Amino acid sequence: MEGVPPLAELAGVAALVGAGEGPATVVSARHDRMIVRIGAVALKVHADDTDPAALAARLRAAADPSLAQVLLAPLPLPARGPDDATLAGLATRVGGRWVSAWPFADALGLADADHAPWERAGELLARLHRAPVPAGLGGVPANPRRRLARSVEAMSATGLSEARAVVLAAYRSLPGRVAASTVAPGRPVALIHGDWHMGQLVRVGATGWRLIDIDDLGVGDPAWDLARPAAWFAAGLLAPEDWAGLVAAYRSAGGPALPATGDPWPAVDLPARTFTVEYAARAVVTAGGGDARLALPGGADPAAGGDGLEGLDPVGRAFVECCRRIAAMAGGG
Amino acid sequence: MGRSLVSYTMQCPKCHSVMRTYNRGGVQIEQCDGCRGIFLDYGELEALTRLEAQWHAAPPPAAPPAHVAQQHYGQPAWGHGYGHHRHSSWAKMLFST
Repeated sequence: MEGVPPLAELAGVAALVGAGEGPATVVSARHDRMIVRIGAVALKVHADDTDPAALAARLRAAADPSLAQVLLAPLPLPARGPDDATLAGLATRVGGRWVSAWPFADALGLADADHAPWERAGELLARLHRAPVPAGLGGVPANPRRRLARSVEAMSATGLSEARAVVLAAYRSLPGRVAASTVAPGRPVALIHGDWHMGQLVRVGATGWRLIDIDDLGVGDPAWDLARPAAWFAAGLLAPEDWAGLVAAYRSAGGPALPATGDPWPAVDLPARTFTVEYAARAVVTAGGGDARLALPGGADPAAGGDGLEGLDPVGRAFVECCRRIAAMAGGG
Repeated sequence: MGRSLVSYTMQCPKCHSVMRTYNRGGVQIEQCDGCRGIFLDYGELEALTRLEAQWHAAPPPAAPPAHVAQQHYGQPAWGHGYGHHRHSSWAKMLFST
């Protein structure tokens, strides 16, 4: 990642919030952001294109006592000197990047896949969606579609022309595909997470579960926080009983994204189609980036011959095949 | 519909997990605990087809009991049937952006 603050400087920030002893360990690094653990503290180095006003509003919301049972709260960061820049006392400028501090908590990971807490997730999301929108976030839209166009554009460099055409047709059939906001007529508007998946859940001591990663928090249609599990369910990846468990827990906690009874699908259909297209585009990029024909995980797919989708792994194929039907149902895009 | 558990003796020919035997309308079917694939013995497909024909010919069934613990929902028309994938092949997606 470009322009990351040196770990020694981050250790200085951690010391200010009482991290205690411990080596600086990179927990997670993507091209745009990084999370470093030092002792009892996790420091988040936010993306370099972060809007400071929006980040300040999001951090204030996470620190708001009214959301203490839903969102992990950031640690207040004292100024390090008279010239130190801070955001709401909750982020500080280190090496040209905004850095926030959080109590370290283990996020869920691969080992939890077979017993992921779908009911807890449903309850937490419902609680988030029922919370009053914090004053500072009223004008901050969550934008769960922010990676969509980029993912679709990235396919242009791949050689998988048939799969690319299928995904592009499905993309072009999506209403509002370039909109920055998910607010839609006839749909509820709520405080939403904006980038929800199972890795955004942490267990906090004996007091229960919290949501982490506030960088996409904002106002939107709450159905978009259910978009990923809905897309996994539609693609045949998520077990029907897990989807039903998530829906039942979300409903019994009063979540506004779904009708109280009946088929939940109409509410999540557009978000699920949108994430299906994004997953499919990313699978095409992954498969087309190298010689994927040499590395089909799980061996050759007996159904892979002759349909133009050779080279995709079975999961990627599932998303691309969904895209084919999405485009066909929309009249071919 | 109640399921009566009979045995755990078969191994799935596709993913090698254990298969359970269920009784559906008098027809024994084996379903894999891992990939949810279904194994039918000789004649069972025909028996199921007969049951399906009877179902279509029969008057609408009575409403299910009101206290169903958990409902199951259908996939959208553009979906892809469940059970084609081992969990491990997509589990990373559960936890990442």
